[in-house]
Amino acid sequence: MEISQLLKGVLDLAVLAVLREDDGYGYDVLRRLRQAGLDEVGDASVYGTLRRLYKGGLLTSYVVPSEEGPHRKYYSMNELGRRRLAESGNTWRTFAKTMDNLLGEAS
Amino acid sequence: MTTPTAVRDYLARVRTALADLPDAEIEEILEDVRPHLQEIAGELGEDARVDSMIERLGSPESYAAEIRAAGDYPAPPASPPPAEAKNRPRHPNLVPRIALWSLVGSALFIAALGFGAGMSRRSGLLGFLVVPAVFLVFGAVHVVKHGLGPVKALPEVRAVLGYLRSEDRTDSQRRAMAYLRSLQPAWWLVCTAALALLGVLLVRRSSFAVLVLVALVVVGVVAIVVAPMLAKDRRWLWYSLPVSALAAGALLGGGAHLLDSQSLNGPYGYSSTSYTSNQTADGRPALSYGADNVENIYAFDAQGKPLHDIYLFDENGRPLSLPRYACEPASGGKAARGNDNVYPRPRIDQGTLDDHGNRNGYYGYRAYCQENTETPFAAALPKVPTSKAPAPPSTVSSTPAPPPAPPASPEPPKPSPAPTR
Repeated sequence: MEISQLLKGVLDLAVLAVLREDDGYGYDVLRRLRQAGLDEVGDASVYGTLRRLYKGGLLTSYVVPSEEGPHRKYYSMNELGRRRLAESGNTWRTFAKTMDNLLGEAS
Repeated sequence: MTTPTAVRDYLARVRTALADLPDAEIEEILEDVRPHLQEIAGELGEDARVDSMIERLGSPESYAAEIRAAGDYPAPPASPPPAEAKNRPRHPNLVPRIALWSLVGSALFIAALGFGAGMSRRSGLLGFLVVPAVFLVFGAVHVVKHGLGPVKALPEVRAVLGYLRSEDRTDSQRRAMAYLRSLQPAWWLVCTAALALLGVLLVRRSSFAVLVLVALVVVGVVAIVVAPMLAKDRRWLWYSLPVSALAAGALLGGGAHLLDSQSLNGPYGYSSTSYTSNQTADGRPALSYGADNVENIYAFDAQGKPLHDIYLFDENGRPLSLPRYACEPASGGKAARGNDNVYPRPRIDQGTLDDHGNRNGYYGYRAYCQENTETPFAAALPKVPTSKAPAPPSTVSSTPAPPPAPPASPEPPKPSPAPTR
């Protein structure tokens, strides 16, 4: 099964997860996801997801002027975002366990 | 470090592909994307061109589409203008604008034709429909081929639609609009009825117009059939609007004609010569013979001798009065002096005089006015009837004046005693 297919459902969760510790601008978020091993994630998908989470009120943003190059817009998670991350995290773990069991039985 | 051209070009195309989103939102998106693109351009170094960016990231358009999908943005409008960004015509608004304004202009022109046809009942006028039809077909072909997108994108259309759809309305305005909208089906029925009526009127005038009647009814019925589709697909406006215009014009024209003929001819129907004026300048009834207005009447006795100061009445004893004009010595012009039924009137000669008393000469500058009571012509009367044997009256001029002349009434229009019938 293609990982990109799986990613569609959990990209929100992944983006929230990499913003849990540190705020980051768009390209940061993308790099962190890649470093975590999600090579398949599409650049534009990450930016679109960031905007959606922001519009959904889970993220806030602030702009940091930069000496070299354009200013950078950082995203940080707010309380609502943390709650969502916890909920979605639980859902994912339950789901993953179920899938594990299912696959364990099948193999 | 300034933004490299490649990044700017790439971003510009992304922006175009997202153009339907709110500007502020597009700005936010591009702010997220820009640092990343600069990073890539930096890696590519000197040969950072749009082509190499596209190799890395895919086309700006697909990039934008991915942002849309992930960001839950609405799908782009049906006809994506950015796709052919390169070979876009220089005046992208020109053809849609012609299509739109030719529709508006044609509608007005057709309404005027409908008004004229309703008023004059001349089916020939409808032949001019060919002119707007050419424009309408052109516009219709354009919107069918390219959709309404380009027309809706015109600034003038956006302004109007924005006004129509704006949210801040009072309740009564909203209710009024809803009510008008609910009248739409009825309007199409009215349209068809009006067109059929127009056809019938035209047929009454010339039976050749039966074809026109049939055509008008067909046009009207098609408009009713099309009406439900119009709500979903505004391209039908290129049919429905002209039909509406024709019907509205015909209704107004027919109404105007009715008013006109009623006020002139009373309840006895309409006159067939609706083009000659049946009123004098001051709104009193005019005398007419056939299609021409009669301004003076000369009477002769059986010997051909001109008669003066005769009083004229119609068969109901109404005096046939006309405004009387006389010279105004002060100005050299003429002025109305009451209204009476005494004929013949003095002829009013007007012109200019020069210092030597020459009339209408090259140097004339003083206006003059002269009343002339002479009879301008002599009547050649057939010699057959002598006054002894009153022949059956064949023409007015040969008949001896009938004896029962009404008692001479003083000049201005005191109600003259009616002769007994």
